[in-house]
Amino acid sequence: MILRLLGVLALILTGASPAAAHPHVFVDARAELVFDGKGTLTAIRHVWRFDDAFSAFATQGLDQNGDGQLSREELQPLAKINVESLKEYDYFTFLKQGDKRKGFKLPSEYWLQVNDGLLTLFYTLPLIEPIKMGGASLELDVYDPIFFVDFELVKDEPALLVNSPTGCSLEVVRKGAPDGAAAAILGQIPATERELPAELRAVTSQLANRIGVKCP
Amino acid sequence: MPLSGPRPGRAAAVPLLAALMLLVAAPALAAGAGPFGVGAPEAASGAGSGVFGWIAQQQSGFYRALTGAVKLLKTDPAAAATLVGLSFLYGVFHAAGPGHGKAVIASYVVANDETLRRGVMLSFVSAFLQATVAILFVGAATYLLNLTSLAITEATRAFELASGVLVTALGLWLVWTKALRRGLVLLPQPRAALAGGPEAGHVHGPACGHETMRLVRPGLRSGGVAGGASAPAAMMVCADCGHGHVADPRTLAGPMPASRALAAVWAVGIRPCTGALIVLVFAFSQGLFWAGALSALAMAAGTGISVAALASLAVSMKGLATRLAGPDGPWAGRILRGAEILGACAILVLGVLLLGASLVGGTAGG
Ligand SMILES: [Zn+2]
Ligand SMILES: [Zn+2]
Ligand SMILES: [Zn+2]
Repeated sequence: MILRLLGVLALILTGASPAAAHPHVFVDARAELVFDGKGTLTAIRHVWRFDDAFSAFATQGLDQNGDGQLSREELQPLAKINVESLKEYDYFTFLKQGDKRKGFKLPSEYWLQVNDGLLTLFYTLPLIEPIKMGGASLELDVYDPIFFVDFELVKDEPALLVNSPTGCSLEVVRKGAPDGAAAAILGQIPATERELPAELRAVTSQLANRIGVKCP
Repeated sequence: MPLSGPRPGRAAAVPLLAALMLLVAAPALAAGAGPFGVGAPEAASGAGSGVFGWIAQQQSGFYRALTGAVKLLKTDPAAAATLVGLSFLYGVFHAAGPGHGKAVIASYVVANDETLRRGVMLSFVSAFLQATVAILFVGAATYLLNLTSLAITEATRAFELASGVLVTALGLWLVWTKALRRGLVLLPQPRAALAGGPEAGHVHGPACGHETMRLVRPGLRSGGVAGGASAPAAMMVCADCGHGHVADPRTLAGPMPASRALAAVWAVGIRPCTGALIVLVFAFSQGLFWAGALSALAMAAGTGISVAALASLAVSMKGLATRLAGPDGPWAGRILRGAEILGACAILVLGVLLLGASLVGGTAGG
């Protein structure tokens, strides 16, 4: 009894209570799968619109000439920091062919725009090894496994095929609101954890926005 | 509930306390600069239960609703009430989640054998200081200096570094006074070396902790018993347990405890919370200074409640463990002392982790 009390006391003191990453950034996302016109997937193009609070925070002080508008030039330093920082987070983009993860090069182009007070990040992730699609199927997940960023796919055209061979099909599975059990598991993931154990990844990936691509 | 545990259980308390300290040191708090390079996440870690996942969910919901209320306020002044309510709830849940703030305050309260009332007070003072710092900082950063979000994030890191330094210094000081300076960490000091005399058994000084602990509810130290003009110094060392008691602050306004409490409050309050920062910048960008300030203060009230509840729980837990061990037995003193040392070590470890995290460029804490 006493021991248990002391144990609880120690837990309290360390604040070792769990991680519980919680979102401070909300993103409405669209993913475009970019092909070279000859049946090879070469890049993923992201369009990420941030929530109004984060938009206001991120753009604070960036209106250099004070004209009340945020030009692409004024936003470019922020865009640069965005994509540079995202690298460490794998761009929240997980592309798999079967069990094989596909890697990305540094973003080739990136910029920010503000529409109606909402900041939108556009950037393109070239594949390290472009994928010849003949008969292949791919899975693309866009999500934050640790839930600091809450990604949601946009309602209209959450995923697009660009320059794809005829006959390719898309299947989009939106993340559901995490149920009690999944939320509980999410809460145990240290906000610093980037490499999740397989069993945890299996659970969190159910919360992913999953885009399936199949080509004949 | 049995009034006392089995003997072997008590004997195991010593290695257990040591093990707990290791456990304290285990979680790493380091995080990156945030996925977008601005507005870095608050990080914490450890093992835990699903309750905190649920808390994270609630927090997320309230946060969304409260940024919505800020926008609504532009057209509908009645949204102010909604904003205050949501901010308050966000504060409650935010502080209920992990974060160094509540851990530092709870540890400080335990390490210093503080009263329940002082613990609650410290919780609220630190929460409101945190809000005030955030309001003044964001106000200056946006209205006066027109800092960019990048500069604000950088400045937040500086605050965090200061917080880490303060927590570490406080931890070092507490470990020194609570553990090292008193000699052997967990064993009672030899009686001969202390006042009270061997055959007198346990002679309590006027400000002795567990004397009063036995008389009133755990943690609720009555001022009357601890009073007395004869209390010579801020620290009374108990003859039986070797347990140094910080004298009741109401009777002894020594500079040391006051400045230490202030250090604890500043250590927690100086680092503005990311959620509050974003909401403040957002409100200010809409020209709603008062909405932002109001929201931050309502958050502080919520945070204060959660932190106070936790600090109270820690105090009560310690009191209960002492009572179960039997107030007159040697174990009561050992547990009290062990808890103080645990609290002191917890603060030191938290400080080192915070410091490490902010030095490698990450953020930590809530
Ligand atoms: Zn005593
Ligand atoms: Zn937070
Ligand atoms: Zn916080």
